[in-house]
Amino acid sequence: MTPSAAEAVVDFRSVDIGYDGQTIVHGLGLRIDRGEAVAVLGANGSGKSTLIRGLLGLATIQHGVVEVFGVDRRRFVDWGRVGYVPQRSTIGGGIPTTVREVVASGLLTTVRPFRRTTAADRHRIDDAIDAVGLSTQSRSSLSTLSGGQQRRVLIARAIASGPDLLILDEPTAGVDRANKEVLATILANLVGAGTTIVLVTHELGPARPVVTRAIVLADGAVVHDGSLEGAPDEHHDSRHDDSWHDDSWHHHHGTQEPPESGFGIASHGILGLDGRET
Amino acid sequence: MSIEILQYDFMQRALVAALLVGLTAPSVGVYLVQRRLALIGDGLGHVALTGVAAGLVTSTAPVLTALVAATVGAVAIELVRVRGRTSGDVALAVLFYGGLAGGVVLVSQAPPGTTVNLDAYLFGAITTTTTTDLWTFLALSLGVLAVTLGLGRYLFAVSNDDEYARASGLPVLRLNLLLAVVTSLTVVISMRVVGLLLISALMVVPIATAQLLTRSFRSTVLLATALGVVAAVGGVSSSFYADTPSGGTIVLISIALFLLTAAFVALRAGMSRSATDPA
Repeated sequence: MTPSAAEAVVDFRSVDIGYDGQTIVHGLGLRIDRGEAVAVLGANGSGKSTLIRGLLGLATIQHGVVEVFGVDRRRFVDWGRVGYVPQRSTIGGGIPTTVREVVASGLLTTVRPFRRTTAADRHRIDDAIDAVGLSTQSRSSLSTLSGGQQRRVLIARAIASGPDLLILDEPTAGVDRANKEVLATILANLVGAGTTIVLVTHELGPARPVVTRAIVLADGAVVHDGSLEGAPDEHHDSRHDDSWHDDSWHHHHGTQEPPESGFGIASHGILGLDGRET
Repeated sequence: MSIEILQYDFMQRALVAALLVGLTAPSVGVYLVQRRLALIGDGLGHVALTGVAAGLVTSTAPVLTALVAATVGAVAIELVRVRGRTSGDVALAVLFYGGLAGGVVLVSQAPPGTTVNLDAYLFGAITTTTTTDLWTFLALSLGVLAVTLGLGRYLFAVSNDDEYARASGLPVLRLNLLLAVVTSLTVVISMRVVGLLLISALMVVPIATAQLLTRSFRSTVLLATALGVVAAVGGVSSSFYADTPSGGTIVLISIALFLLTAAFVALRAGMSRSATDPA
């Protein structure tokens, strides 16, 4: 890798991504540098989730090269540097599981098999749970948590290893306004700490001020790459799942125009997290 | 009572075998239940029966042939599942009925003079555990527990969120194959006292009982293991006095523990509701 002022965290070069021979993202060229907070926007089916799933090895790279921290992703092993929050509303199977147990599984790429959990590991787990404001529920069963709180557990799991890159797939879908603001604050804090963020979403909501760059996909191709202001409307498919959104401005959809007032508290980035539900 | 039981060598062996089953079956089963593959143990039991029959026909120790058959079956079904070519249901059906049919047909070809008591293999018996079996079971149990205890965090991650585990760079296929193999080892460990058609119950029922009372995965594993030991050792002891097949007795005790626990939990919930209800 040639030295440059900015360090490439992710670099897609002429990449096709898809599943089972079907190509969903075509000819993608995209470089994301350290410290960026990138929103990947687009309608349902535009390929925005496929883009990050290709990066994570959950979709097939059919053509081209994907580098993660300067290493071809097929040879990349340091996955503790990459945190991932999957698109999911609930976690866990049938067995009771505590918040701590789920968050601890975020450390597995950095710990050795057949070793006991060290004090340092426990601190990282505590810190991650603290960062998402769930310290008081750390030993609670997941089934006692709300959907928004469960999303925060998934974020804690993703940040437990102290990743340099955090990838989130629709972390706010189906989450109430209060939890969306909490999520935005968590992201703001991570960006402040130097974490590179890739946020796939079809509605930014309170996370809008955190974003430094917007990528918009349509039909598997990038149609916009630059500032959020110049981006085509990012939530034009929101009417499909309006029932999930409690944001007041969604009630007059059709205007498609998010009012500035929609980004309230989180734009200050200093909201205190105390783990309470509002 | 325990003194009388322990006077018989065969009962000593049966009780040790029961202890090993009680320790291993729930510690494997918890990951199967988490992955919603609770019945895979049953399928592997059927396949192991083909192995038992092959052992009887070729005059090889049935425990070893069952071990080979169950392990091959476990790896095969995991690979079929991953490829997604066949639905899980169909793959399981082939495994269940192919294993059972293969066992029954093969056994009929056993050399003349071979005494075949298929019931003992299917439903367990307290008199059949040999000293050689016991050493085999001990070695297999150590292998199973090394995996479920030593790699438990990894098995948990894969069972809890397969996709996240893959995105984290964990060797998901290898971990799933490992779980399949320790499941087949557990089936073999259980073949004397529990029986090949009933082992799955001991992988599932103690888990179902424990999770009525627990909040964490860890406490579920610990409580389920304790319940598994109580059911297995209690079942073998009871079957000595009641002259019943040990496998059936173990499973009935396990189910009784489940029903008692469920009733207790329902009662407790009802009481706390009426305590908070002003009416």
